[in-house]
Amino acid sequence: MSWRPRTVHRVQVLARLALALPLVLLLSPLAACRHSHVSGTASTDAVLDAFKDGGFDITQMQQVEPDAWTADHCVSGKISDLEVLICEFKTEQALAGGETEVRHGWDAVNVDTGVVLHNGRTMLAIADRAKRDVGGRVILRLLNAFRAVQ
Amino acid sequence: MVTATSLGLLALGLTAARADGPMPQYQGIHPLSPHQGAFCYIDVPHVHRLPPPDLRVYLMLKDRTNVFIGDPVALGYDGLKFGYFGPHPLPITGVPELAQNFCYINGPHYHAVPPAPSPALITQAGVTWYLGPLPPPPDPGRVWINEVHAIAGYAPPKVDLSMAPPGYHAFTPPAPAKPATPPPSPKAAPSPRPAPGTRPAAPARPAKSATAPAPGGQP
Repeated sequence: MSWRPRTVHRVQVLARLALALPLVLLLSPLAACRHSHVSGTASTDAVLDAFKDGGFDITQMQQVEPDAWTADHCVSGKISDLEVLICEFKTEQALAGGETEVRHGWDAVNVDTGVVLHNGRTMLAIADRAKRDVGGRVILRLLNAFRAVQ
Repeated sequence: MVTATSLGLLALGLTAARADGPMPQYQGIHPLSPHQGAFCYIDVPHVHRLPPPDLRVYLMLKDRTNVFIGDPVALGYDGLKFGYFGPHPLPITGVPELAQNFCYINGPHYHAVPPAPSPALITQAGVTWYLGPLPPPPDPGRVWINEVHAIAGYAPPKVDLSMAPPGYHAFTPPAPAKPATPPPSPKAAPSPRPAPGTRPAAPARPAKSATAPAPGGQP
């Protein structure tokens, strides 16, 4: 319990809020850009956990801006030298659009191998641009782990 | 949060030079170009930089997706395999338009998929024989698959026509339609033995079904 009078305490709280308000307003656009997970489909966290359980190093995976794929939440990065993108979508239509965007991306460049697969409304895209997995065995392990996610 | 342009788009390679057009699409496992033993084990639709070098072992879907229909072991596959002798139904999982597909490879060969349950398919000693009616190839070029050479070291199932179950009808492939020049074949390593089916077709009886399409192509 504070030893100070209650009125003094209230003044201090209001003063702190006043100081914090500009900071809150300043950061609000960033907060608006931050996309949350989508309910009803496998989360990117669950997919990454499955990859980790499968023996993969997922430390290079980071959250990325999902709008480029019409998604609501995405993580991307490298796993076993393969470029991996995992996204959650709110609708089937958005999912189809995201898969199309990924394929158009591959049409625009020369990846050695590209795979896009979905589990519910969660999409996994893997691109091998440097012949790191010529026979696709690593990709297949990732696909199997992804398909097993509930 | 990392922006799409800094990482996400990089993951899709959008910063690299543009290619000429849509990348070749594949459905399921297939030998990798130039068909000298390297194999792709990805079992879902995917793309590669290179198109198939030998279309005799592929079917192309309407959307130009390439589906491998040959003997995978003969071209480098080393996974789970199932022996077959002669032509048989070969439905392609995940491809509705190939649900009634047939394999027209003569003689002993392998596939990576087990035979579908059917009274017309008899499996004995690890090799499956098809006793049902066989529709003529929808495309005369389908029998060109028998001219494809296996990679060095390939050993087909150790079985011959004398081991056929009662009621088996050897398939006599139709004469190749002209022009008989098949699509370009890769410069495969010399094979110590021909690919499955390059052995002479079993003598014996002509397949009655060769002129009578099976309803739906299924037993």
